[in-house]
Amino acid sequence: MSTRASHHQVTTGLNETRWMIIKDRLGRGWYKFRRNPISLVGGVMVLLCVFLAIFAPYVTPYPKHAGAFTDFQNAFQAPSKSHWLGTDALGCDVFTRIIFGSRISLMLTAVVLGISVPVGVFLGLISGYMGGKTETVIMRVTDVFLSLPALVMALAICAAFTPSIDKAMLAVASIWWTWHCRLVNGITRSIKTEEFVQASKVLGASPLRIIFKDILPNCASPVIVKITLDAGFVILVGAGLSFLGLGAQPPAEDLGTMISFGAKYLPERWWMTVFPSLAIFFIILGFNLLGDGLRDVLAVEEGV
Amino acid sequence: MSIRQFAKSVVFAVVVLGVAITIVGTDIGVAVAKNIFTMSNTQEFGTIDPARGTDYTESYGMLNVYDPLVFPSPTGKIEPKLAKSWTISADGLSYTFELRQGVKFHDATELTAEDVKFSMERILALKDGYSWLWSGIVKEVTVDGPFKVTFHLSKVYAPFLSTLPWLFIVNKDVILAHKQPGDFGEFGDYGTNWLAVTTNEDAGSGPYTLMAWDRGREIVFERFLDYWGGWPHGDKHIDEAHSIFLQETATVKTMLRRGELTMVEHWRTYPDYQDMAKIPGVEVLTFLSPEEMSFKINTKRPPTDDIHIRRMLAWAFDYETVIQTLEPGSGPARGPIPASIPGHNPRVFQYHMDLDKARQELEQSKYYPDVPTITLVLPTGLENRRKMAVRFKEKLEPLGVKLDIHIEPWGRMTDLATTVETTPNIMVTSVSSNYPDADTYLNCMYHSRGSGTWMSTEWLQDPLVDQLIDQERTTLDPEERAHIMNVAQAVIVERCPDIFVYVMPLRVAIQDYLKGFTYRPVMSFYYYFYDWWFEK
Repeated sequence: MSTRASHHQVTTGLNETRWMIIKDRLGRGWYKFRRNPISLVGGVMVLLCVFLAIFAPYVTPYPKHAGAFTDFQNAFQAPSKSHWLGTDALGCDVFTRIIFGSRISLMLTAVVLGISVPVGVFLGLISGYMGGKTETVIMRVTDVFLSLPALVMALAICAAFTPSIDKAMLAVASIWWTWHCRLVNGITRSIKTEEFVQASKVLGASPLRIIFKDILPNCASPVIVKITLDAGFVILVGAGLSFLGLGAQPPAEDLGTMISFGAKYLPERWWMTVFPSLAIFFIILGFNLLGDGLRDVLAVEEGV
Repeated sequence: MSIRQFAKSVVFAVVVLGVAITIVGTDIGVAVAKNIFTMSNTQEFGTIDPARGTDYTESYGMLNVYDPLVFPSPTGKIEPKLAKSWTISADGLSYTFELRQGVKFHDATELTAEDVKFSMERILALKDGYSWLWSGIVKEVTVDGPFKVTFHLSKVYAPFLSTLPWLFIVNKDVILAHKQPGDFGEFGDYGTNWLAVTTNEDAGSGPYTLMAWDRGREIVFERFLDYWGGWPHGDKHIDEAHSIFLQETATVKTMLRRGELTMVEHWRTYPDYQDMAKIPGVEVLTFLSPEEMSFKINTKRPPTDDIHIRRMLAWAFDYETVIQTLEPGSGPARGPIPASIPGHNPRVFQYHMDLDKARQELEQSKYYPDVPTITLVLPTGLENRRKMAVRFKEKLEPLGVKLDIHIEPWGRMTDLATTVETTPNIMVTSVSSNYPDADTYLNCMYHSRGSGTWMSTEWLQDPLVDQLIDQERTTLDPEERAHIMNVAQAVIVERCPDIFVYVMPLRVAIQDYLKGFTYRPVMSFYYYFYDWWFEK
């Protein structure tokens, strides 16, 4: 009983110290992040996109234009006061559709990374820690997936089914886990020989405890950085699929489909293509700047 | 001495140069005086072998180099061409043609009945191109004299004469002179290998000859000065016709603006032609095509197997907006046959948008109120169809009917059409005529034997309709046949297997110095260079 109590005190003490260390690191990280104007800009850009996407029906001037809406009399209007970014071939407000379109793009990113990151990280941890045949099997499968360009793979999967945005999400997710698997596998392999892991092993900790309590936290920062950098790529792949007609189906439109439909009216009606392209550019730039900033911050945390 | 020599040589050089410039100059002068016509096309020419070609570019290639026996008029009436006149036997089984005399092939030999017989036998043996129009129908061709030929049919086939513009006559001697070993006995390969590779030779008698062919880029036709029909506009006719493969409309517009194109073919979008019409000196001509746009409804798949659902869809469609705003220049549809086609019934019922009537039909449906989602598939790249589909969805939403729109590549659409289970509730397609006769649509779209193609995704399979079509095809009396076709159209419209939207307009952009463009309701028969001349 007394041993348990003392153990409890020790843990609490440890927790307190740990919390202080984390606070200190967070503080230093935030300081570094704040000092880096580019990462701040990236963060603001991403937050702005997420905010606009979430509150799309309230912040857009013509929320009706996002659904099945046609007004052929007002089609192809150049940018003006009433339609800041002009109107498209159906007479819908391009600004409204961009905001709603970015919703689909962000949703795609969230779903794809929400599926592929846990799967990839889990498989990477298992394969890296277990080694042997398990690792061989998992990593060879990963290699096979990695050897095919993501867009080509996604195209093949999408083309085999009726095109829709759900299929596009699944197709991209089904290949994206491999990157995280390889990354985490490498980290796990180097960490598992570290002394603190060996110490846990000697103390009799179960493999699952070692994997999730000792190794996983050490993978967190590179994975987080990768996620932010990935977000841009996933949006790009999604837009690529939609551009090729394998993503969002009318009347829903994501940025890729908007560009694809708009391209038919170039160069005279440029606003239908240029503004969705700029929107993609904006989102991806935001994520990349944020990712760079986070990398610096998390590098601080690791004391590198 | 040296100075004098130098002066002499200078004078000599100047004289030589002067003469050279004069000669070259006149040469250039002659070249400039030639009437060179250039047009764009959206696809490569596969072949211009009359037994092989089918699509729109191949068709106008064949049309300009070869002559058929008969030719469609601007109203679709069949008129004499190589055939001066013809008689049809009382039983409708033999057609005898009296050929025009003095028709010269491009090698200056005369066209005779032997060539006609050979041309039909060649296309039937090769089983390619438009041979399906006559295979199983033309039993035998007999030569009754040097300029008299008879086609013997195995069964009565009322639209036979209307199909004959697709029988282009080839020069038998030239084909056989170029034959290579092949599957057809004494005829070897029927000259197919030669026609497949040659870039400046042909076996025709048409107003133009094949002059040059840079495959995948450009094909050039040259005026045949000895054409039997003569050249009524003399030197104003086109001497060289270039057809250039240009997919990018932006490029096409730029070339048209610079005067590098005389004509832009009919495959661009309406806003593109609007842009082209603004170019000074460019004119956009609009005609009603033989192609009708319809929303083909699968009559065998729930929920559109219920006629009330189909009628509800037909009442909910916004015809007026589509015709007036999306496709100005198009004609309203009335039943499955475009008005420009002989045999069209102008009195069949045509729906208009009436959402109250749509609701009434909906409430009568066995699926009401939980109507399953209706799937609609349209091909990629066709903007107007996408716009129509979204408009349709907009109109169906207040009725509580869900429409799922999918855009699929054309190849996948033809795959989906092969079975009744994979055919979506609605497919948005357009069907054009193969020959100027209502039968071309009735037979391909609604007869049970045509099921499983993209043209017949209604899966109508109605015994009465089948019977009427069979009757129409074997009835020789024009009035009686017209009556049967009218009834067939009325029955089809009553079953409501389609939303008949509009007859598609056909637009071409031309430089205004090009005169004589003549529209005919058969694919590509309006790209007949012989019709045209320059008025500069």
